[in-house]
Amino acid sequence: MDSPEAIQHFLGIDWEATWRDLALHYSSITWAFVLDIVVDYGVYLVSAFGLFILFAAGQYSLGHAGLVGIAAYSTAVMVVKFGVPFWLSLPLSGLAGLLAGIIYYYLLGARLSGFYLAIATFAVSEALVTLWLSTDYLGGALGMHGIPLASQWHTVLIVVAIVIFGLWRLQKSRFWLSFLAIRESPIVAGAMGVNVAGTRMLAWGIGGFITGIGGNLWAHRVTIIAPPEFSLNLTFILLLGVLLGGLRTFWGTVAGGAFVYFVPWLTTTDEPRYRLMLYGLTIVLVLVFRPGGLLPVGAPKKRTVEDLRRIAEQAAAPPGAKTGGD
Amino acid sequence: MTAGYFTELIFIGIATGALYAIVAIGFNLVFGTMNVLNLAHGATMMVGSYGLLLVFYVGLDNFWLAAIVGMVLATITGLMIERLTVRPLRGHWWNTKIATLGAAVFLENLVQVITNGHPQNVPRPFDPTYYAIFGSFEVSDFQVLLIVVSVGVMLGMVWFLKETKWGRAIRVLAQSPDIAKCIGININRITIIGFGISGALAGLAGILNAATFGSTYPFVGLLLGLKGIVVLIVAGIGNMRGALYVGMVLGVVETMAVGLGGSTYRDLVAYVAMVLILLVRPHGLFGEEGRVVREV
Repeated sequence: MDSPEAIQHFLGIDWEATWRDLALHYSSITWAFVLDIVVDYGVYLVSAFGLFILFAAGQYSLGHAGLVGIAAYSTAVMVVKFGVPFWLSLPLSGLAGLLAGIIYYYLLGARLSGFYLAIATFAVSEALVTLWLSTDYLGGALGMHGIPLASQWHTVLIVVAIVIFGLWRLQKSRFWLSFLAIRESPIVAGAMGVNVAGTRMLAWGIGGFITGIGGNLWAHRVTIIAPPEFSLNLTFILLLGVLLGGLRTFWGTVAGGAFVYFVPWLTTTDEPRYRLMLYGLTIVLVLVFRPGGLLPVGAPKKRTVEDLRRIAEQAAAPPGAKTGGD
Repeated sequence: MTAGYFTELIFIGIATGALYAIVAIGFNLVFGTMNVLNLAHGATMMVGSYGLLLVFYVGLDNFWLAAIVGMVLATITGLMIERLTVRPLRGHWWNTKIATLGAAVFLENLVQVITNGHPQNVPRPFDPTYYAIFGSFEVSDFQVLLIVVSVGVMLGMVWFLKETKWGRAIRVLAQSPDIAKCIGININRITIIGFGISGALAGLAGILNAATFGSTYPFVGLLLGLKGIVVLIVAGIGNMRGALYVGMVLGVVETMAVGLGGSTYRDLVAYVAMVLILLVRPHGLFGEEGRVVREV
């Protein structure tokens, strides 16, 4: 049994060395490195937007990594096996994601809701990982390699800008209102004339399309994709970005994703286990103390007692009378 | 392929499934009553197995004492999870689920940091002896122990829920929290009792798993917890007997898939079966019609 050394390792932490490592970590940050992380963040953000759309329509998915994986694998097949150029593969993988989203809708979204939907999407995601692991055409456990590094900063910048513009337009449209209505209560939404099934399918389609583009950027960023990358950890990190920012507007996801990507680099060295520990603790604290999201992005302005009194006076005043205090 | 090999696979499957059943019953107690899917259940199992190790580390070389300490630690973990992540978020099913997932990620990585992440050897309570029953068909006494314990846990839970005061209160809570309040049930106390027992069962499952495989590691609860959820959903929520049967069948099917197909199909079988059953019978095989989760 080797637990004695293990426990000594914890109690006898070499703090000097830890500080030295941290100092080295900060001093070794270069602009190229920062740019690298920012581009990673942009790639991540597109996939997180896909999840955000699903959440906005109340389709609580716990298996978003599966959808990202479908997009990344379809990209890899197109690029590696058929030699499709990057600019063409981008819309094509978006379409693949859209198709996958529609299939997800018909299989799960249309039949299950709430908790069952979350668990079923999760199971599908894990089953997909197993499927990729055992498919020789897709490289099995080794995954697929030889994807060109096409997600340079300018490409990612353009794609993220287009996606954000699209989301901004979507949030101004009436579809957005029906998404929110369905999330709050499908029954009331249906009674108010919202096409519940159609809107859900729309959410899966749009979410799938954006995730498809995100998965494409992802594959072109890491250049080697393997099945284990698309398991629970990726789902958890995507969820964290969406939930930390809150579900009010997509700017919440932008902010939450920034937290997920940048805070660990500021506080720890690149040890993934410290990072995950921090994530776990953060999400518990945020949900308990700020259930609406860490950042008050897009939160409705709080009404004070004075505001309410003014509104009441305006309502009570006879038409034509002056409003205001007495 | 001989008949002996086949029977042996079935028996190994039942023993593996017995473990899944204990996990699922622990889930069931919390999920069937408070509609809280405690995703930190797997992490609680892991804490139980490390509690076992702690006793050996201190120098006491007694497996049964260590098992008790492990179960106590797991119970405390269950209570902490209830107090820190579930109670403050009561009424938000989605947030509660994510908070327990966050607690699980935190606990698992904490233990990984503390123990440096290496798998740790766990001493066995006794060396298993194999008994040949039908010629080549061999059964170990450890497998028998697993099956006996899981059947005992199931019967104990059924008795607890049907006959005792607390168990009845838990069932009232499962039916309607409002009615429970009206007839004077202290919801906080009953909830914490449920989480405590569930934590103890998680610890038991973690210890049995560690003793079966002779080792434990920080992420041991992840896969086992998932299997527990699969069993829970296929069997139907709130049904202890169903959980036992489905757990054992799942164990047999998995062992068959490994023995006949290959180890990659092991998890695929479970997940595909779960999705199919969810689509056909959302309330599970043994669940009551209409007893689906309220989205509180």
